[in-house]
Amino acid sequence: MKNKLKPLRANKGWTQAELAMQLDVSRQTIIAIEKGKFDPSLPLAFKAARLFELSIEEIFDDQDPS
Amino acid sequence: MGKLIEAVLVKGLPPADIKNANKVNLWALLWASTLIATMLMQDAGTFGLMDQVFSITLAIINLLVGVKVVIAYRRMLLDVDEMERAIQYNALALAVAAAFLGYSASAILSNAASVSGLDGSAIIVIMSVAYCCGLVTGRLRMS
Repeated sequence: MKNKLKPLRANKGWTQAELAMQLDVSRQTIIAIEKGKFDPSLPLAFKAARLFELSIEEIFDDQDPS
Repeated sequence: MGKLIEAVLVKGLPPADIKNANKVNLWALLWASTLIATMLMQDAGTFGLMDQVFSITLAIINLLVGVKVVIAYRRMLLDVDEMERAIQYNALALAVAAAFLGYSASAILSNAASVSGLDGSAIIVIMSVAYCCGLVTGRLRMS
């Protein structure tokens, strides 16, 4: 699943570790989500959406890129 | 190589998760120690006439410590970071599959009288190795 976590995090000027701390996950989880290797759970997606004051759809895109 | 070391050492987990994992490790170490102690004492026949009583007592102690390992592991799984939890579940599934396939393959082979069947300790070793491989490959895949 594609997502905009990396640019959103960069806009806020946060490091991966800082974002991880705010979302209560490990830095490895943030790295994996940003790379699209791990899809977050619904509660984590909601948490991220609340943190960035966006909707889940604005951050995560489940459409096939092809 | 760096990624492999990070995968083995589980770098980056929150302190609470590391604390829970350490608790599991300590209980597992204690369980293994009580298992070894029980086996050695039974082999040596240390307690003379009271052998059977002590054997049963040691087996109960080993069982209770084993239950603590399971409880600590379950607590760790419930509290751990969600990606690590997914990796743990995959590793557990791999361990079960390895045990199932290993045992069934050995049963077929022993039936054909080619080799002797796997005993319980071999199954535990297979499960442990598969679980560790599952953890490391899972972490590498996600990194």
